[in-house]
Formats: sequence, C-alpha cells, structure tokens
Amino acid sequence: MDQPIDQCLDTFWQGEFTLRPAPPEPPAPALPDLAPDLAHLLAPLYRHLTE
Amino acid sequence: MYVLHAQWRVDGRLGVWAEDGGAFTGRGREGSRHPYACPAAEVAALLRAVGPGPAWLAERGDERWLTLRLPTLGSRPTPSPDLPVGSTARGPELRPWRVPALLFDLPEAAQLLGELFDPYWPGTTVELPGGRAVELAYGASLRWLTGVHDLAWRLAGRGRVLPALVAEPGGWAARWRPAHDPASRREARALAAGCPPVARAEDGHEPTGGALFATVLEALTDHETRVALGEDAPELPGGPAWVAALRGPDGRLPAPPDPAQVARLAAGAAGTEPLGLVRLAFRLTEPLGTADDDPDATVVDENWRLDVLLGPVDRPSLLLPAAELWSAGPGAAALARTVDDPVAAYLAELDRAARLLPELRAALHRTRPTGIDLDRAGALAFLRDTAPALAAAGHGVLLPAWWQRRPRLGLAATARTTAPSSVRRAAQADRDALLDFRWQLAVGRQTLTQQEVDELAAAQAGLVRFRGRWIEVDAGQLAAALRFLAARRDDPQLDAAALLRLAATDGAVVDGLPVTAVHADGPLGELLAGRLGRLPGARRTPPPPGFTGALRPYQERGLAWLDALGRLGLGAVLADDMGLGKTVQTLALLALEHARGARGPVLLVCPTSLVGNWQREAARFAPRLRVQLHHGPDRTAPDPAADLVITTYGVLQRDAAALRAVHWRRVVADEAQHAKNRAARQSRALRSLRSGPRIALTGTPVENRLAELHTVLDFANPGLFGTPESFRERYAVPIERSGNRDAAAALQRLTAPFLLRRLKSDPEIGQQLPAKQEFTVRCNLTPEQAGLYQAVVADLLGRLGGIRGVERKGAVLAALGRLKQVCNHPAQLLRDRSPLGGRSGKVERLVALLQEALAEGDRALVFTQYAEFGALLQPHLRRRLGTPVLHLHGGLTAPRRQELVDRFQDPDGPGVFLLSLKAGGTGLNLTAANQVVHLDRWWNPATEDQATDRAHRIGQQRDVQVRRLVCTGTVEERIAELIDSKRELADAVVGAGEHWLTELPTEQLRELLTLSADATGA
Repeated sequence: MDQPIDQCLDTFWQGEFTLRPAPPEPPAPALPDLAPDLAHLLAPLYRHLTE
Repeated sequence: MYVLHAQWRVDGRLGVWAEDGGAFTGRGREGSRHPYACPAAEVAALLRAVGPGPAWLAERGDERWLTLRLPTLGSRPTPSPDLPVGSTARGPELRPWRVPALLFDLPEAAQLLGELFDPYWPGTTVELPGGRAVELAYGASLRWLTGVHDLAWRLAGRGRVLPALVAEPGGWAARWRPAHDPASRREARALAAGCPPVARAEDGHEPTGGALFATVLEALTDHETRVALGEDAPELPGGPAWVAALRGPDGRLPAPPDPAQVARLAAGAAGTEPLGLVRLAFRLTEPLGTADDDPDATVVDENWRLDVLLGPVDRPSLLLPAAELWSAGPGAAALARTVDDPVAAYLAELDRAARLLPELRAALHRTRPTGIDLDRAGALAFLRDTAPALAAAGHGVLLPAWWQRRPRLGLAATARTTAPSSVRRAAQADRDALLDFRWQLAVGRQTLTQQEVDELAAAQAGLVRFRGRWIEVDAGQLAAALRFLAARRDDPQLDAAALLRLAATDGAVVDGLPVTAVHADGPLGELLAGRLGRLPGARRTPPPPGFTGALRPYQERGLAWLDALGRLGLGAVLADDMGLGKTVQTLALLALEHARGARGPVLLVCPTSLVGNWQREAARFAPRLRVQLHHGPDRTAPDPAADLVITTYGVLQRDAAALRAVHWRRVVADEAQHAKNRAARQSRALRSLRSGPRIALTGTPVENRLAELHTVLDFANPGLFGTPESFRERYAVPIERSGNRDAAAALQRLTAPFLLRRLKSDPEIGQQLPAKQEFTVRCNLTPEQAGLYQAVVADLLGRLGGIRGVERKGAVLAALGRLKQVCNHPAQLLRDRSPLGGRSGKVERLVALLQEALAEGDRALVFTQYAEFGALLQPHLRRRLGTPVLHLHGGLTAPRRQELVDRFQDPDGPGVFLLSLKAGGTGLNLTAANQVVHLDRWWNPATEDQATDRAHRIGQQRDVQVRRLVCTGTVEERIAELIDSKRELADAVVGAGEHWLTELPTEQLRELLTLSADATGA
C-alpha cells in the first residue's frame, strides 16, 4: 500500500524505535547455558564480569 | 541548528556526520557532495562542544567521506525531519550523496556511542568556539546506534554473553556473543525492527535492519565484554587454546579451531527454540548435474541450492517457500492469519540461523532473501556440520535422502571361487575349487572397478558423483587406500578366517581404513551369511557312505557346517546341548571325509570315562574307520595307518612328545572344557599338537568364566580371537562385570561362524525329546546336624576377625565345604565310620524317594560331588533299599566304568546308580534312568544340567524327573536361590565362579551361613 511521501521520509530518517533506560532487574549471567565442562572452565571470567 | 548522524560502515568503523540548518539554503550543489552536510572539522567542533568525553574522542576521528543513499527530491537530498527547514516537494528517489565525516575505530566508536546515549533528550544545546550557542539534535541513526550500544554494554556487564568461534575475513577468532534473556530479546527485536533506514544508507551496502542490528550488537558486545573483563581478567590454565583469546583486546586465533568445538559453541548460542511464531526449514537440493541421457555429459548446473521455507511454529506440516511471503498467494495468506508480521518474524529467525550459517548474512542483505547457492565444498560443509547445528537450534532441515545412507569409501575383502590357473595366491578350499583372496576399493558394499578407482583418484575430493549417486570422498583417505592397495592387494594375511573375522567386527579398520564390505561365494559365502548350521532351512549334508546311523535334520545341518569349516581349513567348536549327538555328528564328518578319500590319522582326546563310549560309537556308526585306542598301561605308539586314534587327556599329557611327533589330519577334543585352564599342562599339550583343522566338542562352552570360552575357541582356531588379555578386556570384563549387552552381542557375532550351539529348548529339537520336570526337595537337619552346623559357622566367624587376603578366602571356602558335608551327613564331616541310619534328614529323604521310585518301576541316577560320601552311601542304600546300587567314581578304571554303564543300561539292570559328579557328570549315556537326584548342590548350574543330561538326552523314551535336595534354613537353601538367579546369566553365555562368596564382607557371610530357626523343622 502506498504511503504519503512525508510519512515515507519520516520513516527513512527516524525509524520506529524508542530508547529506554535500563530495566531495573538485571538478569542472571548466561554461564549455565554453557556445557558443564566449559561453564566450570569459564566461571572465573563470568565472576570477574559481574562482580 | 545541527543534526548529528551516525553510520555503522561495512568495514566496522563508525562514521559521524552532521547536517547544518544554516547551510540548507546557502550552499550550492557541487556534484554529488551533500550540499548542507558539515565539513568534518565542524563535526569535530560539535562533538567537542558536547562534553569532555566526546571532545577527547573527536581528536581521534579520521576525516573521511561517506557515500550515503539518501532520499532525493529534484537535485537535493531531503533534510532529516529534525532539521527545521520546512516541508519538501514530492517525488523522492534514493541517490548517493557524499558527506564529510569523522570515522572512528571500534574502541572509540563504542566509547562515543556510550557518551551520546540519552534515552530522554534527543539533543542538546552546545556552545561552539566563539561562544555561539546552537541547538544540536541527535539524528535517529545516531540515537539508534547509541541504543544498540547501550544494550551491548548491559549484556556484557551482566554476563549475558557466550563465547563463540567465528570465521572472519582475517581468519578465525574467539568472540563474545549476546545471550539474550527474555527482556533483552524483546528489546533487541524492537531495535532490529525499528532501525531507521538512514542508518542503512551506506552506498553499495544496504543491509536489512535486522542484519545491521546483529552486526553492530555483536561487534559492540564482544568489545564491551573485553573492556569489562579488563587487563586483570583471570587467566584460565588448562583450557583449549581459544579460551585465551576471550581475554584481552585481540580475539584472533593463531590457528583454525576444532570444528566440533565451533559447532558445539554455535549450537549453544543459537538456542534451541524459534524466537517467535515462525519456524524455518532449510532444504538443500542437489544440482541437476549432467543429464543422464546426455552422451557428452554436458554440465547443466553445478550449484547446490539451499532454499529457506517457513511455517507457523504450531503447524510443522505447513511449509512455504520464503519467496511466497512476498506474493499474494494462499500460503502467505494462511501464514498471515496466524502471524502478525510474517516478514519480520521470518527475518528475525533468519538472523538467528545466520549465527550458524554465516553465508546467510549475504542473503539477509538482499531485499527479499529466499535462500542461497552453495558450491560443492559449501554443500558438504552444510551437510556435515551446519545441518546438525541448525536442527539442534530448532530449525527444520530437509536433506537429500541419500545423505543419511551415504556409502563410505573403504576397503572390501573378497574371496572368489576361481579356476586354479587364474590366481597368484590361493587357498585350497577343496579338490575342485580354489579361493582367491583380495583387497579391493569399495564404496559402501560396492567394490570398484579399476576404471572407477582411476576416476575417483582423478576427481576432486569432497562430494563426488559415483554410479549416479553422490558420495563423500576424503582426499587423505583415498590416497591412503590407494597406497594400501598398491602394497597389499594380494595380502597373505587375508584368508578365510580373517575374512570371517572382518565380517563379524563392527567398524573393522585395517591400516586406518574402514572395511565396508566383505564378499565371498561358495561355502565361505554361506558361512558369512549365517546360512550354515543354525537355521532350519540351512543346507544339510545327508549321512555319507560308510556311516551306518541315521541323522536328524539338525544333525545333518551340523554336519554341513563342520564340513564347510573343515574345507576352508578352519576349526570348529560344536557346543550343542548334552544329548543332541555331538559324537554322532563328529563320526559322520570323519566318515564323510574318509569316503572322499581323506587319509591320515585323526586324534581324538577325551576324558577317561568316555574312551569306551567313543570306541563303541565309532564301531557302530563308522565301521570303515580303523580305530586305535592309545590308552592304558600297555598302549603302543600311535599308528600312522589308523583313521582314528582315541586317547585321554591324562595320556596326552604323559605322551605329549610322541603325540606331537605325528602330524594329525585333525584333532578332536571331546569335553573340551577339560582343557579350559590355559596354563595347565594338558591344555598346553593339546594346543601344541600339529594338525589340520581342529574340532572342540563341549556341551558347556562357558562353565564358569568367559576366559574358558576363549581357551576353547583358541584351541579350535589358534590366534583368531586375539590374546587372552585382549579377549578379557574387550568381552569378558564388560560382560561379566556389568552384563554389557553390546559386548555380548559383539562376542556372539564374532564367534558365530566358528561355534555352533543348539539347545534342547530350541523348538525344533525340543519336539524330539521327552519332557523334563525339575523339583527342589527341602529336607530338615537332625539336631545332630544342626549342632555341628552351628559349630562350623561359629568357628569361621570367630576366625574371620584375625585373618585377611588369601587366608580369609581359604577359610571361607573350607567352611562352605564343611557345611555342605554336614548337610549331607554328620559322618561325612566326622569321618568316623559311624553308622548312617537316622542321623541325616537328607539321607532319610533320599531313601524315601528311591523307595518310591523303585516301587513305580523307575530307575534313578543319584549324583554327589563327594566321592567319599558316595562310598559311605552305597552300602547304606543297598541295605535300606534291598537292591543293588552301582557306584561310579574317579577311582575306577575306564573298563570298569564302562562295565557299570553297560550294566545300568541293560533293561534288567539295577534301579539306582550312584555317581560322583566329576566322573559321571559328562559324556555318559544313561537313558535307562528317568529319575535324577542331585544330593548336594554344586555352585554351577551348568555342571548340574550336564549331569542331568546323562538321562535327558536323545534316546530317552520317558519324561525325566529331576530333584535337587536342599536343607532348609542353611547355606544350601540360600545358595540355591543364588543359583537360580545365576542360571539366567549362564544362559546369556556368562558364568561366575564361587570366589565371589569368599569376598563377601563378614556381615553378609554371617547372613548367608547362619542357621535359621526352621532348619530342624522342630
């Protein structure tokens, strides 16, 4: 469907997104998503990242 | 008024440029230069005005030009809406415009985006040099990039990242990738969907919003994670090399990583579920290739096509080609009914899949991505590595059907019956045919012609077309195979035994090459196919001339099997159940070979008790064979002119040198389990004999331990089943310790061609035997027995505290023996020659049972493992029953034993035959009895069954009743329960010794041995 040109130009220049501040509840690290052996190996790095 | 814009370039650098409202009307057009974009120095001035951070960064930006495709009206680019210059005329088109810009490398770009992020205010007022205050708006492209950066920074700082190994233009690298939680995934989707097109305006490179978002987020996440880890990140010793590259500023790897690690990490990072309501499927289609009917083999198409299909998550059967998304077809309409924005959902999933298949990124950069073309190497990589990873990530994968069944390149071992003149090396199969053994190259089970080998060698490795099918060829493996063939085409180690062994071994490998096919014709082919011996329809060999008996159908099949192995020069283990006619089948084979003209003596080794039996059976069934007895003190040297020389294991040991001097046409070991102890002298003497193909006869190939089976197999075919140690490691330990079914099945496959075992319980054979009923008869102890029993137990338990190791085992075994003796009769333990009457519950019960049997006209075998108890019991039973009682034990000469057997088998013979289990438990034919009593328990059910089979065998006319006498509440009863459970193991070709008893902890021993209250029945 054709849109008015002004609307097309607005879309081009502005997109359709909204910036938001960070959510208040931080999620848990993704370490458990790793296989157990890798999780064990990389645990010190994740601790260093988040502590 | 200025508007600041930002561009994430395809080279990974950030370009920052600005529109100047003041220049909008003033500056004229100069070619493709943007007429009102600020000079780069002015952009730097604007950044310096924003704050100290951007000011510091502004010094580090390179002044360059960007070329952007911007909406153009007439001859001018349109202004961004933030620039307050009023409305524009109609008719825009995208045209390239050059704008001056500051370019920043990734570290500075990330820092700048962080500085400029402001979710509340899309701009600021800044003071330019000279004190001029101006409005500075942050254009959407810049704001969008600050938003992506903020997300990356938060993911890094909260540990929502996962490592990945990625191939980049400069080589492989270890990267930190975003690992979304539900909230960040929603945020990411919104940012990807809302990407302003101006952010994608770089000329010549116009990615989709989702693709640009993924590229920027990944780059920034990796960078911010490394920044957050800092220089003091802990080192991780001991991990794979790529782990080190996760720390520090440089993620590049010195060498390509292990593909398995790449796939493992990629599959984990891609998740296992679709993001939204759409599920993708990837369909690989092979190229058309050359037309089959085209004699010139013109290549029609060499491209493999990977099409993307999609459908609703909850309707796996509905799959549309992606191209239909942009058509108005019914499929797209159906999809639109269940998914709000199918295109956006499709692109998001495609982006997820691109993590596993980076080539998809190229498709994402097109306006309407529907799939990609792959070359052969790409197709092979997709089939081998990517497809399983995509499937694991929850995508559908549709592969050509042949891939799952693709044949492997390997070796074929072949044996062909052929005319003698045409072979260089051959084995004598029989007088008419020779076998030619060869290695050949094979694809799956198909052997290759020389021309095909040449073609394969000339073809490139990878996916190759062979006989109209695609196969995967590994260049290294092909070269190794060709080298192998050049060196070993006529391998002297390849013979019938090796061929059978290769066929029985799953995943057989020779010199590192898989053996994918084993082919043979003639009898060897029948053996390979398992068509000999077992199946009711298997080939049968009728009784040969010179054999005067009749053979049952299963015996004719056994004869065919024995004959086939012998003609191939292979040994045989005939392990039919007791009573199924192993003797008859062996004699039929010897008669058959004799009738064919085979000459030279066959040595038959058997226990002393069976010498007479063999002699009589040979005279009866194979009267043309010249038989010599090599037995007894007056024995003469083996006669080379005899057809069959019968000897015993004892004589074999004594006359080893003389018997070794003869080259026997065959050696037959009857009751071959007698030679089960590999280290024993008679076993060594047996194995050292020089002979043609050997035969082992045994009704119990596994009496106690699988090591015994190896000894018997190794006698028949020396060396074929590996060393005792390797056999133990591969089969005996896994099967005996943990009942490993795979190992048991592998052992059965390996031994199947060489070991033939039919059971009385086989339906066909069972019909030819009368029924067997088994009972456990419980007896009570007398008070005298109970007192002695408790004394033995107390003595043992009292001693166990102070001894260990071998001494402890010895004490436990001795006590077990004494307890069994008490259960039999106090006089057996005390050895005091005291009268037997009324002192043993078991003996009283035995007398009653026998009286009843005799009254019915039945006749009974009574087995005991103690010869001395038999000696005590014989006169007692004779007195109590008033009838003669025969007693066979190891102390008797062979003729005397035979005489007793003959007397019992006579229709008017005595009604009760007392036998020691060891001397009378095997080999004898005692079908005159229809009652069997086991007076004391042997730990091994196979030994008892063997003894029972003296009566329950071919020739038995009546049903057989078997009774096992067990003293209630004693170790006998508890062991009986254990034996019943062990019998299942024995049926699965597994045995166990009694040594486990000696290793029980004292508490468990106490439970096993202690007399329970019901023992005396009082």
